[in-house]
Amino acid sequence: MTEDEFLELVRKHQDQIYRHALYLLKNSEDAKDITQETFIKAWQHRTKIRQETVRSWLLKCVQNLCFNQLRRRKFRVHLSEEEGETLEMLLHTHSHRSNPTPEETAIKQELKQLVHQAIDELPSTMRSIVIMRELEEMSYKEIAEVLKQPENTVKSTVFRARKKLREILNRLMET
Amino acid sequence: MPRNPSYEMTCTDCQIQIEEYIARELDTATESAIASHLTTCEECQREFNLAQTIGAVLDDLPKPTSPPDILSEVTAYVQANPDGNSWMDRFFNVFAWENSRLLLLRISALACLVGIVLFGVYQHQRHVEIEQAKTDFNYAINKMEYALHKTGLAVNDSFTSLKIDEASRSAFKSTSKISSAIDKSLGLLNRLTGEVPNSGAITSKTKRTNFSIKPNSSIPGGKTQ
Repeated sequence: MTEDEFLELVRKHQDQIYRHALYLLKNSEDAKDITQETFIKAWQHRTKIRQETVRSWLLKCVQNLCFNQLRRRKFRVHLSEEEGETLEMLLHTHSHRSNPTPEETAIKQELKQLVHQAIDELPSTMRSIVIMRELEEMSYKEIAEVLKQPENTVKSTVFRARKKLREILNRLMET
Repeated sequence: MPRNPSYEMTCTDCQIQIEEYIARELDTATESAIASHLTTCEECQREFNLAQTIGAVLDDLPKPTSPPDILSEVTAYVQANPDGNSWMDRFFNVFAWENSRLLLLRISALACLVGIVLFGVYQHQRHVEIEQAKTDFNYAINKMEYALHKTGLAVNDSFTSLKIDEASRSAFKSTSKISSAIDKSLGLLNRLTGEVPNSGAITSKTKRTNFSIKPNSSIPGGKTQ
């Protein structure tokens, strides 16, 4: 892979990789660093990466780096008890929605807030799958390739994640 | 899995399959069973609405774009490192998370190999030591047997040459002394009685028989019979 080909690949995938990191880490600075690290690793291992599986490789890499970061952060939070940003706060800054009616906006906003809160509460592995499936609209086959899991396992994880979201939402709505 | 159309849907079954129902991934029979169940069950209807809303919100999630400086920083790195890693990066990369499993595997394999070799050497050394110990032991046994043999001989020699001979010699000496004493006594007795002793015919034994001393009569204070 030449330098130009690689930079073209970065341009093509950087948004998706950044989004994945952002949804997992809930911190734009960390997400940016992890995205850069992912592409640097891809450049270092470019001889081993096949063109047809480059997306899966990048997603797997960003997922691993994010999980490592979350583990480290969990330790740091445990020590300093600092609080991270919520997904809602974060996505609010990135939202580029057209303006519907004020009532719709209010209801949608409230619901969105609850859903984001529920996503926040999902375990990181489930959150990663939900991001790939719902946000990136990846097929079960593609997710299975990234996670190196059977397609049926991915399917059932997605359903379990949605069910868990439903349960969390129910709980949040009651409180 | 296709189901019997007359299959009666329970709330649990319905709620488990509600996501698949929304994604239209169920067979027709199950789909119609869920649809008819939803018309009659308020709780499941509520779950269905909630699941649909979640789906809609998830579909509606904002898709943030990456900051522009990511590309510029990656480009700068790529241009600074056209061959990938510097030697220092490659060195530290050995300890990176992705390589740690491979590194661990290599270290384990090497440790196993070293372990096997060391075990072999240890076993060989132990065998040699055992053989040496056996030889030493046999040598010691032989030495001991020889020493015992020598001791036995020495004891025999002591008994025969020292004690028994000495005892017999002492006994012989004592006998000689007794004989000479008897001879002297007989000579004295014969001189006293005036008889000329036939010294050639008289042995100390016959002399003792013929002229035995009668202690009761000769010893002063003895009993008179």
